[in-house]
Amino acid sequence: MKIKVKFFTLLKLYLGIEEYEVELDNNSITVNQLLDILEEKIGKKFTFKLREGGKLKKGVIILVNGKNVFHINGINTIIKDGDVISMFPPGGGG
Amino acid sequence: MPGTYAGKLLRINLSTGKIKKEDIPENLLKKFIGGRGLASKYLYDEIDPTVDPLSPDNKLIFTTGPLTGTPAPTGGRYMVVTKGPLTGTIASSNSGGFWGAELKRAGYDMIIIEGRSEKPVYILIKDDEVAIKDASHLWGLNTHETTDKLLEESGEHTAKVACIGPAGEKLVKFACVINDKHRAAGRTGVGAVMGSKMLKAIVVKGTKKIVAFDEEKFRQVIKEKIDTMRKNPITGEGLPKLGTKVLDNIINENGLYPTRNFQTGVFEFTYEVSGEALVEKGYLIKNKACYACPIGCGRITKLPSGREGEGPEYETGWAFGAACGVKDLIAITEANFLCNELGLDTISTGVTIACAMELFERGFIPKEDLSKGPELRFGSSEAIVYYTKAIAYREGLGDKLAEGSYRLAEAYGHPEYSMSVKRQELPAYDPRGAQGHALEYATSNRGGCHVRGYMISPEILGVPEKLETQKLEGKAQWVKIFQDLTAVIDSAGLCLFSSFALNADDYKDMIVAATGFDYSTDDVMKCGDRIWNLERLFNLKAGIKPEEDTLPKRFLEEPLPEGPQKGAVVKLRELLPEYYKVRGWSEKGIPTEEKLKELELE
Repeated sequence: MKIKVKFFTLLKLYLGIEEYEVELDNNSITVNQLLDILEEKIGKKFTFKLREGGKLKKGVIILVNGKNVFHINGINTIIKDGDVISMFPPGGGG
Repeated sequence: MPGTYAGKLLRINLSTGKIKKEDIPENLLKKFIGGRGLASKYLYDEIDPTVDPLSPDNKLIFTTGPLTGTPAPTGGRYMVVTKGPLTGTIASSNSGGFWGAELKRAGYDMIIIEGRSEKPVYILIKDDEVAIKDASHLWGLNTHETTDKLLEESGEHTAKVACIGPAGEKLVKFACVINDKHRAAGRTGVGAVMGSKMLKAIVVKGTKKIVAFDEEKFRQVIKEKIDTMRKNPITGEGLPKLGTKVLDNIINENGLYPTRNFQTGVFEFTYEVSGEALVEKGYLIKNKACYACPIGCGRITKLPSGREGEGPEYETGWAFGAACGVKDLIAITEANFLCNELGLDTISTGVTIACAMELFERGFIPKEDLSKGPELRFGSSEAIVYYTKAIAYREGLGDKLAEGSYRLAEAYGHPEYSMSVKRQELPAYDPRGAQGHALEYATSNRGGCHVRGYMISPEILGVPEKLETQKLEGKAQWVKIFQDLTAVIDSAGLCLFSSFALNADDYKDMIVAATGFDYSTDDVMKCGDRIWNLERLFNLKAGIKPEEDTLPKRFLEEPLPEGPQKGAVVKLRELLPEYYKVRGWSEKGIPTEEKLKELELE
């Protein structure tokens, strides 16, 4: 399977990466597994803004095809081939 | 007088030149906290709500809260309260910077401006000395020139200046008041009311000390709250690093980033105009904080031309960007600088131009009406800069645009293309993408507005908890709580952004330590409810009907055409009755006698 991960706001600025393609042999993975994979490839500075104690931090936004995983199955939300995942550390303004 | 209140107001009549200092009754402070609440009470009691907003009979109130000018985090806010010329509703517009804190230090909680001067004037306040001065030489100058000249001629180089630009003088219906050159009491046209009174500026120098009721306790509470804000990922990192434009991509990826006059919720060029782009393109020079603010979300920017200023903020960047289909960050920033200099509300300016673009592209504005102006095409950088200037000076089509999108679209026979509520332009969230936020737009007491109960926080940002955008259940209750809490924050003299980290208990702690009032958290929230209801009563008496608690037809009938929330429309018919119910209002949207009694109103 092939998925596209898009980094925004502070993640984008800190990592200097806008998009990241991940190719895997699996048919599906969870958001949590994706975070593990990205942590391995990119480093811890990536996930500490998003995850804490096996949970997504409050205010973190992870969208799978535009849908917030909070309302799907949180960190255990399933990602499939072709999905686009958008990641934002907590943000606010107005 | 309890704690951090000055306990006094200045009443200045510009028709007679009379200046009076009055005590503010303690029971009013306790009931309405200060700021927005207190000023709304004075306005409600002192003017006929049916008055013409631009007539001498309207009053213009500058007001601070008990936490303004104290070390409380974000304690630099003041408000301008009046009857608004854009909406005909009560208008209250909030600003940061340093002016509000200076007014408090001069020894005043509030200034009430009455009447109208025959010639341009400004007001000079140096603690107890107050004078009305001739401003004929300043009339026509922009806000930066005015500020520089006034600091020079007052001999007080550290004084603070709030003033209007040419837009306020020309009575543009969405002219703002600018203080400290770059901060705006932006919305609802308060600058036009100031212009109608021939009042160019208020210069303040204050040297008094503000002491809390329990100073030691107050310092300790403040330290705790600052610490909470520093540790919070939004107020401690997201907002300081990227400013409010941290939101562009968040809102766009969630599919509610209004594009081309709200025709869709996804802007394909967001990457070109986002907060990230502002940093990557090198336009951002540094951050800037208002008085006593640990966040520092202000942006000082410099364009390749060498032109420097503040902004764009999220709303402004969007209003001239996606709303007008423009992807040119230089033109967007230039339009922002112009608004600050000319004294225009950026949201209403951008959205009115966006409305004109849709009217022009649909053939409703004929080409000959553009005079010498560029074609009003979505995506035109030239148009946003040109028409911003034209609005401020009411030149050519600018004269019609200066009336706001509703009156413009109505004049061309198609009011349905005005994306406004109660004639004020909507901000940067498509209401179809968040049902609670849609309800907040429809019921805002000052017309289309996102800062009367920012439901984007729970519905999109997940703060204090994540709510599903399209679910209706419980949303009316959330909106009420957010509206009441916002009224408290505005009345206390703090910035709404503090609420990403602080809750109602935190605000209560600070207000109690500052004033000595024995409020519980419920008491403070009841003050918010009282203020909301008082504003509603003003509007009803002004002739604003509950039927105006609605949204443009586009949001009720045309589904979002693309993006993750494709197909959504606002379900206002289901939301509104529930909202009236949780507010304790009649089915028709009128506060019941029982409710008013409970709130000790009337």
